[in-house]
Amino acid sequence: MPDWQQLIREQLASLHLQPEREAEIVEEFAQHAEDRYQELRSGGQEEAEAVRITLEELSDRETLTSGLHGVERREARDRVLPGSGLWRDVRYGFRSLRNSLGFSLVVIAVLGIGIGSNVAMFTVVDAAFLRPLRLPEPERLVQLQETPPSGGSMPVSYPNFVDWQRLSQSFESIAIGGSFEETLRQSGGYERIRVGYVSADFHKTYGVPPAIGRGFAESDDRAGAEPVAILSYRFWQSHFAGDPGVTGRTLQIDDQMWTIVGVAGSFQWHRGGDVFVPIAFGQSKYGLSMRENHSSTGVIARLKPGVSVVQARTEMQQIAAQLAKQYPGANGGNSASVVPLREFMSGGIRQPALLMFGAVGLLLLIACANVAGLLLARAAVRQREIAIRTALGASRLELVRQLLTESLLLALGSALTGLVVARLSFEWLLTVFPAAESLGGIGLDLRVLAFSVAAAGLTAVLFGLAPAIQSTRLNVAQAIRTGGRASRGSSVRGRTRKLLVVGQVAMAVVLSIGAGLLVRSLMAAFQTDPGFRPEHVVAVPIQPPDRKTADLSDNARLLREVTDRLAATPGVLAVGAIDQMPFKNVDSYGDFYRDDRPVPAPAAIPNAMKASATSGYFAAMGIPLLKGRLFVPADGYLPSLPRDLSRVLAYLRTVEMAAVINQTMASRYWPGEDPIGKTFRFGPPSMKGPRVRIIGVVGDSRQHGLDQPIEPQYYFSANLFPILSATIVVRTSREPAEIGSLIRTIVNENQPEAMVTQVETLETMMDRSLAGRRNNVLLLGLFSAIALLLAAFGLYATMAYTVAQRTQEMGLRMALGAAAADVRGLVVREGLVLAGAGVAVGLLAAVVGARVLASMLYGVAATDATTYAGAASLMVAITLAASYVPAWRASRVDPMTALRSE
Amino acid sequence: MATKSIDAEWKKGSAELLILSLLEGIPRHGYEISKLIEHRSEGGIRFHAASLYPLLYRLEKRGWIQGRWVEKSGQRRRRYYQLTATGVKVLAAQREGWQAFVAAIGRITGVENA
Repeated sequence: MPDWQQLIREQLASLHLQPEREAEIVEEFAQHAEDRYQELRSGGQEEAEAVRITLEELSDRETLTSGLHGVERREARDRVLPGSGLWRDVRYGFRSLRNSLGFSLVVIAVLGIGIGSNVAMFTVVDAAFLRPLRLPEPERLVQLQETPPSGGSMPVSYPNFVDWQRLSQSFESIAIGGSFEETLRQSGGYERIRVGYVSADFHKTYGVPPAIGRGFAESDDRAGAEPVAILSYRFWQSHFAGDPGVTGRTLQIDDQMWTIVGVAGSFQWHRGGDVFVPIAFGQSKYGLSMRENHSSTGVIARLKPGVSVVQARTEMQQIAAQLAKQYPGANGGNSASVVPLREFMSGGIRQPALLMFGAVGLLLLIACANVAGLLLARAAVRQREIAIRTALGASRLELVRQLLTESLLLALGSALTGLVVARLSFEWLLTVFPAAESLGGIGLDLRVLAFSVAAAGLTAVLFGLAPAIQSTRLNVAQAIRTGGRASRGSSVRGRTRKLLVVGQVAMAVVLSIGAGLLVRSLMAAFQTDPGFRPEHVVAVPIQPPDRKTADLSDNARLLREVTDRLAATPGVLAVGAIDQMPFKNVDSYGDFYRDDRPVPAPAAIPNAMKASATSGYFAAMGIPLLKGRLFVPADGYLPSLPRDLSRVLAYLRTVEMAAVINQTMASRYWPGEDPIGKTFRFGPPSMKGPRVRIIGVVGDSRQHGLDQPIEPQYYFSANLFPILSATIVVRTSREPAEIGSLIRTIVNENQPEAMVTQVETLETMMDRSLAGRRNNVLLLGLFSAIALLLAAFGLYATMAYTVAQRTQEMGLRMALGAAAADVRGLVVREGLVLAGAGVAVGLLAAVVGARVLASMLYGVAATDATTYAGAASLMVAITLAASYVPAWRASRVDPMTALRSE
Repeated sequence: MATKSIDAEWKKGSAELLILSLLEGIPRHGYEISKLIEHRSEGGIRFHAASLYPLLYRLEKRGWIQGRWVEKSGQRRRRYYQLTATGVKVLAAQREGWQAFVAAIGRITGVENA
């Protein structure tokens, strides 16, 4: 027998009666229905028939609601009060959702996770691609680079910048800046900071006015000018507590005193700068006056109003062609590129961010599909309730309004949950994409939240309204008679739900394949031979003083002292030093060309990684010597020279340098030959660089990371080619900290101004080099785990619902002799058919989509059969698990009960 | 024919009079009222809950009848309705009006006034 009170209460909901009045009416009506039902039963009617008649009689053309409406409604002015009707709708919605608490919580959790992860991820992607830089008219800012004939791009040499500035017409202003690590000396000790060497218009080009004081003038950026500095906003806050009286004070960086003339407005330069100084001061220190020197300087320009990027690019290419003719040695074959600053800056995180955004988008889709399925299932269950309420005279509008309120409440709950999820995951994401932070400080974006909530809300509303839409096509009497079991309407819904499950499975398979491929890449990277033996190796960077007057030969002497003393220490197996330590994100490339062949065209000048190392370095790292020999004292020493690259080069032209090359360089440039004893020239032909003789070939080692390709590399002797900052590499059985303090002691005795910073093991450094990849795995793994869970849940819910709908059929089958195992098989088979369809679609989609991932993979093909098969098997296993419980339930149906309920 | 369904509009027009008449001198609950109407009209007039109760509430709101919950031993409480003083006057007036109306209709249509 139905719960009359509940039925009447739902029927009255749209009237928004006073609670106590509603209770009275409900009681009276329920009493009436009960009386009528009992009368029918005592007249010999079957229970189902008695219920049906009672319900039909509760319906009347002069409907209950319209009848009560006139009598029971509150005062007219109450009804037009904004929100009063809505408030009651909301109250009823709450009550209705509370009655099916489990359902509501699942919907809110599923959508909340979808929304939350989407918002967090979208914010990062948005910062990278969609949101303009927080600078005035950012669309007019462009990054200029030189493009060598071999492709790619490189920093602009300072002399070329000066010519560009003179010749170009497209820009309102154009500026150059390079960032170098130097030592800030204060009374409390020293600190490594980043010093930006910039041209006078640098801050003006970015459109950042000084926060206090002044910017640079043209006169500051000339040889012989007074040394003046501008602090970055952040540095001003951290080191001077935002003191407005900072101008006029001095800073000592290395051995140079700078007078602070201003503080830059708050903006983040992607190269990083704590203190800015005029670039004229870096000319000799960093060899910037050489046209061949493409050191770490970037050129930024602001387009004139109305000038497009394409126009600027065309002009710059013409200027570059002109300069290539004028300076064929340094500029031969080089062109120029002009890209919008935003595009340039988001390069680093584009690939992973887009991938993750795709993943998170899929997750939101899965969540929406999942909730849609749940709501459709609930619609089927509520079909009878809706039918009764329609019979009792509820108008379609009232039904829609109430279901809409329920759906909106669900969407609201999901949005709040999503906000919490977003906050939690956002912080974590910033650690995964630290590059995103340099895009101008990002915080959760409300527009993004609105986007996700809209997607989820739309799902909730669309599918939440299904029962109301259905109700117009519903045969009321039939729905009441069948007690909400399958009818024609619900078969359409059933098909829709199955399609939703297939979609979810397909998307989950795509995500699992993505995650699987990344996991395999990570494993492959871990198994990659780095070319050295990292165990028991400690790396300790040493920073000699950067004084212009410092003697470069002192650096080499200091390294010799440190390495000799360490070598004599018990427990030290091997020790060496190098300026380009692997896995430290430092690279130095140098052009070279064989001098036993015709000089190649500028476009064809080869280039390789260049390092300056001691002989002991190879033994300490465990890099094998394959041919020839390593450096010996006879290979020469640098004489006493100040820190001026042009003078160093002038000296090196007078000697024959020795070099050790790696296997890749040997086989690429001396194929089929013995390179030992062969010579090449260092630098581009225009530089007329020193002659270099190859004395040995060592094994290849990875410089940038386990998952990065091996490149050709040549090593000069640290005794001859000056080392500006070195890393001491020690193979030892002693504790890293012991080695660190030992090195500190030796350095202090010899060169008190030199700094010893952190002490790390090579294993830690290697591990860190894979952090990005590991984070990607973690992230995508997490997404795919959630996706699989949701898909499993969707499958389970669908199967459970189907089984519930077919209880009678199962009972009948068993009454006719089917075994429990047959019934179980029937249900599991149905689950497998759904999952099979989903897996097939997912595999196809993955084959198409894997191209997106291809560039992020290492040591595994984008169409790796093992991964695909693994993901498919996993999904099938999950399907079996998800269908088994409903199947088991179906097989426990008591045939007699099932038949009786029919 | 008593069992013939009676035009809904006529039913609507006479509903108040029917209910007030049944409550004359004796309090009754809703279900009893609906059964009595059906029984005395020999099935010709029926009021289902959906239309009966709104009517009862309307009459109560006008102050013609008054409802109150009564609990009898061993039974669930029920709401009984009885005529108020105003209700008694309204019933008398409506009876008079109804008789005049039926007579007038009879004169026009030639239907005998039983």
